[in-house]
Amino acid sequence: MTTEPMLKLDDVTKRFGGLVAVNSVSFNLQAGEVLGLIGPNGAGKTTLFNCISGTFAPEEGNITFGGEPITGLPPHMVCGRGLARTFQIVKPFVALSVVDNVMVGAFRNTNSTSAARDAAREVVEFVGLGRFADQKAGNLTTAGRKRLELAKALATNPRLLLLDEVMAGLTPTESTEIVQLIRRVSTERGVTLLVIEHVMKAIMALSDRIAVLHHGELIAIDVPNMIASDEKVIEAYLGKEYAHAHAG
Amino acid sequence: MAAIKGIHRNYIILAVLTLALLFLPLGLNQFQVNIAIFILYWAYLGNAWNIMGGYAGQFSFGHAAFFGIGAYTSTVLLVDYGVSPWMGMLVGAGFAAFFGLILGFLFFQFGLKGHFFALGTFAFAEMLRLIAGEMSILRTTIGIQIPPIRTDSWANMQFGQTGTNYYFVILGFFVVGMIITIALANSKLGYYFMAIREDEDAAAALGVNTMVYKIIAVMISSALTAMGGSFFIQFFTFVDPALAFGVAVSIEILLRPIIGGTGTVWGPFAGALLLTPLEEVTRHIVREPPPFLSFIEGRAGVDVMLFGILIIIVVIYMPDGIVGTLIKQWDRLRRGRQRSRTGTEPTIATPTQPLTDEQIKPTTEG
Repeated sequence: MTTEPMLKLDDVTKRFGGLVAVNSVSFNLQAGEVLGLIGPNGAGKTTLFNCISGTFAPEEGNITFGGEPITGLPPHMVCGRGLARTFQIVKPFVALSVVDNVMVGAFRNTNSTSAARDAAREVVEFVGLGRFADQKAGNLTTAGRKRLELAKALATNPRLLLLDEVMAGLTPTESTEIVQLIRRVSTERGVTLLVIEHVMKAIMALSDRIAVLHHGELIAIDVPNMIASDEKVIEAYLGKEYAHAHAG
Repeated sequence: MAAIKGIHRNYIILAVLTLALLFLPLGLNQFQVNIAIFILYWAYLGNAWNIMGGYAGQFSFGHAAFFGIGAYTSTVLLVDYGVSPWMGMLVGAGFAAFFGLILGFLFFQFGLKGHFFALGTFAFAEMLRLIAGEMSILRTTIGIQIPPIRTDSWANMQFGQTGTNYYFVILGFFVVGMIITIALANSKLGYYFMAIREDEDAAAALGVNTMVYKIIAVMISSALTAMGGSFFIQFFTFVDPALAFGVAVSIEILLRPIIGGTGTVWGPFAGALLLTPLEEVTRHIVREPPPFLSFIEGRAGVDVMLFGILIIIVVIYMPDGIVGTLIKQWDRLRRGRQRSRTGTEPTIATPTQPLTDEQIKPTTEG
């Protein structure tokens, strides 16, 4: 257990005026791990993502990625270090084709247009958008846009990927497929994952460990089974019904 | 593959077009050659604007600033120091790029976007117009006349008797501008520009230093625009603050790419091809109106009114411009054909075992 964690948060705090959105959060993420991040709406999950990916600079605390401090770095530099993210509200480049969207990400690793295009096509196939490769991103369905969001981030060839609610707004069928896809991102591509998700079944099945945020504080971090029976977590988020169903 | 074919197709179209344009003056009289000069000239300036306003999405309403910097730099260097305009326009391009760097840095540092960025560029051009009117080195509001010379001179880019030479000069400008645009549209730089235009936050999340790339777009665009300014003064042989930095210049520059289609390779050319002859025709009508329009004889502003009407039509019926709309229609046609071939609209992947309601239900809100 002496290996350097891939991502290390030490007492990260983010305030908006008087509101403490993220309060002294610390945890480690090991290479190859899938860490789920759950909590009620407004718990500070996305704010924490924004702190890690550089959209916000935390007021206090340190964030270390691959042994190097990244606290307060702007988003493009965080991405440059190999840490990519998706957005909860997807941000496709609507006027560009699907491949062109993904190429923007692929250009992080190459200056050659044809190399970027080849890399982008591979990723587009990987996420299952191959048939839509040359269509405008604006023509994609919600499910397609979620996959595109994932593809763009993957094309930057990240070591760590932050996924912000990629299943929100999807049908059960679409969710199942996305779960399988995320699992393949971890197993086939060896990308370490930090995943925000509200779909409990999915996050329980996906994650090696789960961290629970409540009112900006980390109230628990453990393997899924322990989380499911944690009194504090049941109180704050899961609810008694889930605990019973899970036990039964 | 389609995109690779796309770029080759654009170069082929350009090569064929260039060849045709090389021989075009043979069949034209002097008046028609002048119209052709203006078409290429506006297409060139539209291209320059399009890099920043179209591809990178930073809408400039003050391109006269860069145009004027180029116009004055080469003119002062020629008239006062005897420097060839060919050299002078490169110096002017350097100056304009430098001003673009400062403007871009200030505007983007303070987060000027959209309308506010446009207004900022407009203010910048107006500021330069007023300053130029006060500067004695620029002969204040009197302006500078380029002294006529007796014989045609390629070194001085001055062709009194044979305007056709101006045609070949601007054709060269136009072709170089087109090559830059086509190459840009297919390069990392171009993709980053377009990503910034579409969504800056998303671009930054993919590793794009949006500040730096926006400034690069401004600098390329301003340098090319300045060279257009140098050319125009060599052709017109006179410059004053209004001609160089006036609002009319800013508007005329952005009109063609917007009508033709911003962010497309051929939009500015299409816009220039349509608007420039129209401008000439309206001018002609005002000079010698048909009997039923005799009341407009000699009145200024008819061309502007016509432009206004045209813009309204384009904004309502072709918000993507001529070329943009054509591309969209073509896209729709192709998708329609694909649909009829497969029988259905293609859907994402194939359904597998769905989650049950209990599994999918979020345990709290969300």
